[in-house]
Amino acid sequence: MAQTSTTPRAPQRAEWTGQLGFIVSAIGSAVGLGNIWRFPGVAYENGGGAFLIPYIVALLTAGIPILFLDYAIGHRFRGSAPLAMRRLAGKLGEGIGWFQVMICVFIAIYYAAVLAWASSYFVFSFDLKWGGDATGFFTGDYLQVSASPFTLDFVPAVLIPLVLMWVVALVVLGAGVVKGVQRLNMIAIPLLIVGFVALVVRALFLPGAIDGLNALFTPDFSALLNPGVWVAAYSQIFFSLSVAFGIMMTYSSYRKRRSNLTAPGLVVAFANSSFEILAGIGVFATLGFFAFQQGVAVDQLEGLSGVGLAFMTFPAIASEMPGGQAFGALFFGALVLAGLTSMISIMEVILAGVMDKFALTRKQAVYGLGGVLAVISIVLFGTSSGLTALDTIDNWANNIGIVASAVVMTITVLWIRRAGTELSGHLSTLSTFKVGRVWIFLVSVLGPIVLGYMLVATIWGLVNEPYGGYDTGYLLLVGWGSVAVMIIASVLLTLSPWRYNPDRFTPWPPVPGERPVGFTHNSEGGKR
Amino acid sequence: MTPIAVVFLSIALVVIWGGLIGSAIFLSRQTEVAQYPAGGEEAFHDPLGN
Repeated sequence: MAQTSTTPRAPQRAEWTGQLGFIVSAIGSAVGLGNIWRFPGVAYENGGGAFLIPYIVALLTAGIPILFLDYAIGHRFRGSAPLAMRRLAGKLGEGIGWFQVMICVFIAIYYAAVLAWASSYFVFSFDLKWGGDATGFFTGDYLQVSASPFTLDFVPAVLIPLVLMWVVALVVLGAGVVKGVQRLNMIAIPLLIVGFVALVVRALFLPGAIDGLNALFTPDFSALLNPGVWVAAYSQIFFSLSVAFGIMMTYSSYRKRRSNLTAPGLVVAFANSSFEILAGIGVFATLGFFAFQQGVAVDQLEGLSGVGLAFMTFPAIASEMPGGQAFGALFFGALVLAGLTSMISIMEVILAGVMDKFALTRKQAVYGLGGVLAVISIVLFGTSSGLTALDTIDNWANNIGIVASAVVMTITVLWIRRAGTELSGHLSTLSTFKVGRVWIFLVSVLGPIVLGYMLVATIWGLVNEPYGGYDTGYLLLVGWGSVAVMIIASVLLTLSPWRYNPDRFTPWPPVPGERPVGFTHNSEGGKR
Repeated sequence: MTPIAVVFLSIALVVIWGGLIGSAIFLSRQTEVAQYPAGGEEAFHDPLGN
């Protein structure tokens, strides 16, 4: 039983320099492309001003509680998603952790592509290179979208920025949690805020901006009776806040043991939502201007969200306004900053997972595994067939992958492992904002019910209607196929051996309701 | 802006931005709990270097 000095040890875990470093980095992770291009359109289409009601309810009843759950697991069990979940819930937990890692693998591969497009368009802004037909420019001249679903025709204008984005991401990650990730966030996030506020202020002075704001904020109360609107609100909060796919768990695992968890978490959650509201104001003020220029009403416009909003509608609008070059540069610059800090966090989940399990050094993980992912991303998206793949994988990874991960995680942690008391005790002992039975109820009952409903509704919808009108065989291979690959890979990764024993760990602090790590497979140990 | 849109814009700002300001003030007034349980200092390592 003696602990000998020859017990093998991994190098000390990385740590943020303090609370501020963690908060800014977590905000950097949460604030991403979706805050800018998803929220405004979703709000507009789901009741406008009335959407705020389900949105705020979703934030308080699911977003913040599950964020706290992620923090509690990552911080208490001091590991990446597979490691922390393994310590908490054995091999089942580890499998869930790897599934979250695999979601991040798929997302990272296409996220870099969008970042690349945004960086290209940042450069294009200076002479409004997209010309008079922004839509045609994007799909035709820039992406050179092919009719066939898979090609190896590389498009240099996309390839070069894509390689560049991967180089930047890998260099930042290779420099470490503090010198790379934290430092990038401490520079990028203030810059993002200043730039974006400037953009919004500019937009508010455009003619027609007020009509845009009216369009967004006028409530349609009948929307509140539509369950789809509530699903949309919960979905938006969920994806926007980056919960339940390993990011917040990994980031909180880098905090020192004696840390306030919930109060910073509230700041992160409200900062994320604040940015979305700001984006909503900016985007719709701009759309209002566009409607005014075109002589139509806002509700007659198209391309109000997503890739279309960013790369077709906004460029067209920038061409119409005085100072459009600066406007475009601010907009695409913001997309790059928001996207890069999010991409870094997605990659960190993957790297931390393999570093913890296989005892790779950071440099090995970043340049080895990271390099492989970069190559896959470049081959898939540096060519003329990228857009369809991106759209498909994004839909399955998010709406099936992340939601399923959240349902399985909450059920496993709160019902199978019954860790609610232990985790709420952990949070409350260390934090200034206490959580108790209400929190446990929200994460163990309300969360799984709402998420389960969302998952079933989504699967039902996808089975009945081919997504995006794409070929069903393609969707089966690329969409469902992605999920199948995630599951298979999770199983294989769980079955492979750990370099160091993950169960030799004692959580701190001792709290009521806790169970020793390795509890679920005590039959091997004889510790009882 | 129409009055009703102004109302809902205001709700958004007060609740969400107000939440941000409020939680930031709450955090800055007391950044940490008054007393941590014993232990948990950084010299505490396990085989995975945690």
